[in-house]
Amino acid sequence: MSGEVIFAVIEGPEGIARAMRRLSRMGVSRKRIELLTDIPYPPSLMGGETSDTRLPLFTSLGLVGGLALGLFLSVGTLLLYPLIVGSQAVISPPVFVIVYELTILGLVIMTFVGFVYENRIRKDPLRDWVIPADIDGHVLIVQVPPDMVEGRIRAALSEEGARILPIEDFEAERLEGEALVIEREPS
Amino acid sequence: MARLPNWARLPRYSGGPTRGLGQEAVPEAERQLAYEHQDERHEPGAYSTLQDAVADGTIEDVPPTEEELARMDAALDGIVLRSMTRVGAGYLLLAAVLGMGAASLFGAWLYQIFAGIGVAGINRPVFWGFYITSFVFWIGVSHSGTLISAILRVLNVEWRRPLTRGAEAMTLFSLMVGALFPLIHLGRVWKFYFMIPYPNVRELWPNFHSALVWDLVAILTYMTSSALFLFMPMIPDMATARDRTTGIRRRIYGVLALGWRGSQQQWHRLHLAMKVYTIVIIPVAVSVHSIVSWDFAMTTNEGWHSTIFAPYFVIGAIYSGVAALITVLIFVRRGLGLQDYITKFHFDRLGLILLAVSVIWFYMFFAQTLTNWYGGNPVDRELEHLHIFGAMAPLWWFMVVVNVLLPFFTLWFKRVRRSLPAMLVITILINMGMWIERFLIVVGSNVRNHLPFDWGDYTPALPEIIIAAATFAMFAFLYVALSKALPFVSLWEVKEGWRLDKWRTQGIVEGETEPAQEPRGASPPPSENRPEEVPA
Repeated sequence: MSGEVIFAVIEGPEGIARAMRRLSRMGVSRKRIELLTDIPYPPSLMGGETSDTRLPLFTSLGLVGGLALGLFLSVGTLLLYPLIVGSQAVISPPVFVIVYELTILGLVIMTFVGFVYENRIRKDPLRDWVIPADIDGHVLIVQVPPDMVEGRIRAALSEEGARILPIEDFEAERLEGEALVIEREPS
Repeated sequence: MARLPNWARLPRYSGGPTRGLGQEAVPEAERQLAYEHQDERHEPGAYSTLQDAVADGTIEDVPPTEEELARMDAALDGIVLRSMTRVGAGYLLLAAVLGMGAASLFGAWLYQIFAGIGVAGINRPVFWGFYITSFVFWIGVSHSGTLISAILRVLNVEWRRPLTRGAEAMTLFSLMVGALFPLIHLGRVWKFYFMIPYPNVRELWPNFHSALVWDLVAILTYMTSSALFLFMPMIPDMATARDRTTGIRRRIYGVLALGWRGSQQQWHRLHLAMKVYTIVIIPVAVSVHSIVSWDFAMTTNEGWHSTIFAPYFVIGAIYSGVAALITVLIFVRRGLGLQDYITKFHFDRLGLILLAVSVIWFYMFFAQTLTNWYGGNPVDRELEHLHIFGAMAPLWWFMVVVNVLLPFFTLWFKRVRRSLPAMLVITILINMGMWIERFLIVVGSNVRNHLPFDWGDYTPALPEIIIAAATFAMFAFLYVALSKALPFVSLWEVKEGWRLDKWRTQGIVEGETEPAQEPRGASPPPSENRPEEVPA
């Protein structure tokens, strides 16, 4: 995704609703818009869900992996090295306690791994745009579509009460890769 | 009609603004207002009077405006972040005292390692004494924090918001303390690796049929889940701390924030992950204490071999956990100045939960005792006699008084539930009773086991007493350390709660009962910004 990027500051949910509606009317795809807020707003206010996530995949992998590990340890190894205790069959109900716990363990660990992957590793063209910490309001980042004119989007957002951030005024500085100050997207 | 005064909404920030912590966002006039009404705000019953006035209709409870919400946000950030960054002499003294208490645990343990497990009081026939009692107790305390938090999240209970983090931290810390005891109890702690499956020349694997191996796996799963359940919702608050601090703190919080920016994608993922954790952690919590109970129930000892032991232990764990949570919150509320966020209303609600759980626990206790007694097994009868009339009777009766009678005759009253000194005394006594209950279970069935020729007595030795007592200092020390390292109140969840409250009555966008939404599936409207439409 290439092209100009607009940064704007919006205050309050009404401002968000107005700006998002206006961008939607202008035909700007939801995928080209990033809104940074300090609390989660309902997706309906943002013009719908943006559910582009692979988290369920990681969770499912964890579930299957944990189950496989549990079965290997408590069933597989018992078949390989049978240990008869308490006149119980080698494979009997107690082993399923281990299977259950390890299945859950795999699931919770992989869900976290998926979360880290999505936040830190997965490519996202809008993620490298970082913002100052001391901005008072919600920050809207719009990647201008190639067939649109940046000026019109700026003007439309301003009409809806958004404050356009003059990014040239910010000193380009980066703190250990953390999102703190505005910086141009690496090409 | 008069409007609910602003000072009634605003948290205390009479201590003055702290630059860089968000409080500069609070206008001077507002701070002055809060300062002037300080006495009024902290007068006993001030909030109740206002609530009555709202109910009567003499005061209109208009939801706060966006500006007021912004000020409330800034004040909350300021209070929580300030508590993380300011370290006073009192804090250092407290941390030092608790740290020394925690250190005594390791000192006594080290002595036991060098001198041998013989220095402990455990010996035939009582091989499970103070250590296993403390293990069961702390695993029990750990039970409630995460479970309560998860259940309140599932039920979408709004008042949970300022409490969940403290509750989740309690689970993690008590698990950390509890998980030490199997190691301490081992004596030769370096043999711990026997529990871990690894390829070896003798082709020996842990016995997966043993309840002790279940313990290891279950505690590992629960500790991992609880840590992530605590950490995940903390990520946005780490980002807030990152953005409001400087130097090394900023770097540390930056790493812990995992690149959080607050984008809608990130919020969506967080909600998704929390949904998974919230659902999964409830059966995990139940399974863990069930497995702890099976350490006992899978034996043939009288008093232990019982089919209701798992639910009996689970409900006992919730009981002691809720009581511990109330105790912890009373201290933390005062220590961190969170009186405006963790209010008497919360203690009222937690008191009701405690009352309900105490009744269920009594039912399980009664069912267990009645069944053992009614069966007429001589060893069971002897065990009951030991508990009710014998050497353990003072402990047994103390437990009955503080765990059955005390909550039942006090927690019905709203006045008691809203009195913090009363709640503090009640919850501490309940947990003393629950520790004794574990002691009676663990040690009782050892001194009167199923082999009468092997009956005996148990007297704890000094290292056992020191270690068991020091765990309380260690638990408190972990909390004190947490208060300076992590945001104790979930900032974003509290802020979200304030807004949800407003949106429910006013709609998200003023004047619209439904939130603004483009129709799904509708074709995109004609663009107003195509190049050809741009004037030359």
